[in-house]
Amino acid sequence: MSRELSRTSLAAAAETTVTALAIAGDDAAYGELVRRRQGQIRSLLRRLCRDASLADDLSQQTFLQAWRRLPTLESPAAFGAWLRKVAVSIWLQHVRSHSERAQEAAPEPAYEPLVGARLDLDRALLQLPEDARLCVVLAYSEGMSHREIAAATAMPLGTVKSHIARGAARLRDLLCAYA
Amino acid sequence: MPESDAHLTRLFAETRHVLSAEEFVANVTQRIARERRRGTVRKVLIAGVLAGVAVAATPYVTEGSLAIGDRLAGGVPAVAAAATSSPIGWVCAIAIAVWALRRARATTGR
Repeated sequence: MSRELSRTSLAAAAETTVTALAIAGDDAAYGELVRRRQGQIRSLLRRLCRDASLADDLSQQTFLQAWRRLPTLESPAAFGAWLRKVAVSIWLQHVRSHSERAQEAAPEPAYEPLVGARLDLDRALLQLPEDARLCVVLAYSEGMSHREIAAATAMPLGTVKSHIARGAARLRDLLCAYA
Repeated sequence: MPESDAHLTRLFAETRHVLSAEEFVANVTQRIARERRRGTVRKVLIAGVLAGVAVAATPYVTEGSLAIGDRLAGGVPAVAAAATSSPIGWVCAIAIAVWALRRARATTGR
């Protein structure tokens, strides 16, 4: 395998190959990984954030952090799941460091009925507490199992299950109210 | 999975954001390049500081090692000193060093 592949070849290469090249220090290969995975990570963080520019900034931090830690990635095949964990970790760091300020500036939205207002899924998600929102998004948007979510968020398994059950029920209520 | 959960899963999939990649990729690439430059500058600074410390410490280290050498040389008989500076002395010293290395390897190998 040549150390450097052209951009066209990179775009056509399997993700494990591109990841292996990126681990070996190929910046073009890492750029290709960013191109492939940016949609997933930005979408995940937009579900969790209140604003798109913050979500994009956190997504950039995710890719930067992943680039720093890339040599520690043992299996190139695990890149997607590993990157998602990095994103969750970046989000949790952000929530912890901004929780006090956020509570003062913009209190957690109360469970108000939003009948009559335009209620899409993203707005409904914002009605959930942050931990519950994180668990629901990881479960339903990313398809992660309860155990994987517990491992990624460092929450106890029981708490994860409870957040998902309550969060999903709350989402269904909000979406039904809108319908 | 209950039907309502399947409904939520489908809803999440259908409403996934479609986002343009180019500007985002360019921003990430810029941040990585900046990080790499910072790393290089940090390495150069650390190497410079270490080199400065080494240069500053060299006279003291040299002086100390010469003093120790002088003190040790006082205890070595003149014949032994002459032997080590002869070709035969060198060969013997190498043989002793090889023997000592093999012994050390055998000890750690166990």
